[in-house]
Amino acid sequence: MNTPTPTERFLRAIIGRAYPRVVGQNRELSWLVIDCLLPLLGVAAYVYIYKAMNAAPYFISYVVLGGAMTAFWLNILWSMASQWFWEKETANLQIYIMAPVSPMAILCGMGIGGLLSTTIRAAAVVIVGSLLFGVTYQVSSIWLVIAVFLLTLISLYGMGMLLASLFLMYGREAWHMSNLLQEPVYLFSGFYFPVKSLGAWVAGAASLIPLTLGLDAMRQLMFSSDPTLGFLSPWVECLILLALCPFFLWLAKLSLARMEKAARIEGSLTLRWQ
Amino acid sequence: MAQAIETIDLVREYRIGKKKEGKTMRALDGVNLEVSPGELFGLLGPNGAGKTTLIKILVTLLYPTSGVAKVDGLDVTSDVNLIRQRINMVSGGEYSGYGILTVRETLWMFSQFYGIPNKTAFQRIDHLLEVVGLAQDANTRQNKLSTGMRQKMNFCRGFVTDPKILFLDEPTLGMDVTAARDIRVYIKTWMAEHPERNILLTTHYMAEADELCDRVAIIDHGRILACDTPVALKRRVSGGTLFEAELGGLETTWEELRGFPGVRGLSVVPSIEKGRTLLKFVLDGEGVVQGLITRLSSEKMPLLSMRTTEPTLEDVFIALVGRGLTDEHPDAD
Amino acid sequence: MAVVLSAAPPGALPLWQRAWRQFRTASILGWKIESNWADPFIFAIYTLIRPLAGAFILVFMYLVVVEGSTSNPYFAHMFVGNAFFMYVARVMMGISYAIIDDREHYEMLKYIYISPLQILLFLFGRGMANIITTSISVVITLLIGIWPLGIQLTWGQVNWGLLLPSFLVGLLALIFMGFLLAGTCLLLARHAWAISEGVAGVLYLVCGAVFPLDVLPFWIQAISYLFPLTYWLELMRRVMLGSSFSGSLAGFSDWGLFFLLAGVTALWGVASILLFRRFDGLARRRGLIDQTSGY
Repeated sequence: MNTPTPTERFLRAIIGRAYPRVVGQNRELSWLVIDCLLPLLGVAAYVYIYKAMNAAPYFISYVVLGGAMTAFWLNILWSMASQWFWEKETANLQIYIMAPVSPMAILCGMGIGGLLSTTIRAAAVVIVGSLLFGVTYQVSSIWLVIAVFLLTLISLYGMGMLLASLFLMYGREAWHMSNLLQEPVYLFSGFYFPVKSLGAWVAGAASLIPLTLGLDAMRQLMFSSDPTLGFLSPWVECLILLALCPFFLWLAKLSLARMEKAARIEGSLTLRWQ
Repeated sequence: MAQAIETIDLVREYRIGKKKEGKTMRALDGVNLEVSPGELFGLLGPNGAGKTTLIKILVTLLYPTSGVAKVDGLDVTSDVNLIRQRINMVSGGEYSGYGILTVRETLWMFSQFYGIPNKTAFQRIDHLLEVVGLAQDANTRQNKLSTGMRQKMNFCRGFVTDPKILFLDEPTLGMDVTAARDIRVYIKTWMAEHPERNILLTTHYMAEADELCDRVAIIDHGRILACDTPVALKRRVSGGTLFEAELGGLETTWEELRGFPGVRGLSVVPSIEKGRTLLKFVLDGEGVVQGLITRLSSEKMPLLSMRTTEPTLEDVFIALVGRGLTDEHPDAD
Repeated sequence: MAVVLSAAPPGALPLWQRAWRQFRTASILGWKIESNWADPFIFAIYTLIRPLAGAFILVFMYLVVVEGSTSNPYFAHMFVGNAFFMYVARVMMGISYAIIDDREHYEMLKYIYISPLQILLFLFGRGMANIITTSISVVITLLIGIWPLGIQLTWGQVNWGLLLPSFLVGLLALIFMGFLLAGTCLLLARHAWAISEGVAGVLYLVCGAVFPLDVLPFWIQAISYLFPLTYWLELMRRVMLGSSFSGSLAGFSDWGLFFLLAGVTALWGVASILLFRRFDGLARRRGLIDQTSGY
């Protein structure tokens, strides 16, 4: 019997765990309504708030982009950070931990699977939202937009892996923590308004959440808006995101090892019904 | 050559309640065990005996509080990844995977965590599904399966990674008679085909342990009470007399009979459907029988039948512990 | 044969007493589930942070664009509407999520179904914990609105006589909508748990929670009038602030609006109960009562 190499095992584990996320979407078509239509209408609410305030048109563009990016944040919170909680309840977690592969591979698979399906959802919100509300794009550097978008997602999913590992010890608390984080991040990352208006200190602190800088940079690069609304220059934001990617992945790996050890001491890996 | 499984003075304590209260419950209390390569080893004990805790430690899901546990010569606390490449575990009564996937997809997914190439994985999956009678449902979504079918699928998950040492924790729990028999047959076949491999089986079905295991350890309250072949264990009670009496009624207070002169152990098995109670005694000798019949005849419930029997593993348990496997149900395992 | 509550075994408690016990038990259960995960201090923070974050998103949107004062009556209407809207997502969530939680997490739904229990009463009870915690959030949000944000809300101008009946009827409407969502959840996979948040987002738009209805296109306004929440939010703003927000509803007197709210709520009550039963029947037919569907 050929023993697979650690790399082979790692890659196969990623594909294995991503698979249910990808096919799950095709088999439960309710996501079309729940993850595309409903969020789009939610975005529309914020568009009409700005319309009621007679805001400049670029604010509407900000909302459409921010609304689309919420899909990634929700995916991180509910399908990664608190996912172990569900996995524990269904006895999958113990199988993952017992497998001869780093739990990082399982989380990567979970993330990539979620990323693929969420990108479709986010794209749907951007396209339909842009058509409905007449969003006009004035892209200054397409390559920089792509780089910022990819770096935002990599660092964001790295953060998701970190949260998942932190929540490994918890049962239902993980679910509540995700619930707790959801809205404050909408606020501090400036999903619906320029993050600069929070003030330099708050915006600076919020920059630890990759979406903050990603959104700010993409807004500056994609729309013709008031240049004073940007927090930092897109290049600087891109570089910070580049640094955040390995930072979160390293932190997630470290935290996962610690949390697994603590969970094995406490005996909480197989504790159900919390 | 290293033992397949070895534990030395293994202790595991669980914290109960809040940390500052400092209360603990000892689930394993100095377990010493040796399982040689090629053995199908049984761990017998009632609920709460510590069987599952022992397995969790051996499969690297739980740290021991103290003592040593080794699997294939590797330490469960320091050689985690090496152990995980060699083992797998199936817990009866638990399911795994995602309802949205089919049986075949689910098993493939789990095989990927062990890095098994697709071709090999699907060959094994198809073979296993054939063996357990799930081949026709290979492409059925898991959430459409019956409980028994899901358990069979979970059982296949344990074998699909071709482990060197397999831990089966109550694998036939809740299965119907035919399904349980199929599973037992496959376990025997797998061991015959892989004589160098090991299975550690926990069960509280005595007949299952008797039928399958090369050696059996009897565990209660976190301690190993006896460890030997089923034949040798049964021989331990052969010096005594096994006596069964069936009474018409469901009286529950039999404690006094445990102290009856010459009674080594007593198991009480009430049958609510029949409205009868079966009393299984392990006695010092045949001389005790007459006195016991007289004592039982004085009960309000009629004595319906009585007989002396051949020893089973349950009788071994009664003789060792003084009660039957199902007589009490401590609330933790 | 289905077991109905009226077919009581001999010696059982009277109907209303059994109903009360069922509701009380479900409420206690809901409270235990919601509050058992953390100490009271963290739980209190939890009930505050999320709603306040939502309110402050609006504050910043307003401040960035209008660059005006939060003492502007427009801001007060927006803030009060948003505060009461907190009930919408939380109450609907409390009721509908109980289906998914009990089915996929605790795996208790099947046992609840086979007991002689009024499932809607049970779901209402499970939602009670959210009603209580949201009430605390709403009160604190309003207090923060008064100080430090300085919205124009004085206790003297509040129409106390209309406040309680309007509030209760609005809450009833939310409970009915929660039943409808719960019925929908019976037919959907676990990942649909967020449906209540999604629907709340739609209602945020359609019911004019934070802007006058007049800003919406005509066809969306037509849809708005079908929802009791449109009238409820307008009533709560009038009751608290003494003036109307939406021009299209300004023609109604306060009590006229109240009766309109009551009428539409009654229609929703009938529709949601009938639809729940329909979805419930479909779920049983498809064998979904005890499904586990995560991925």
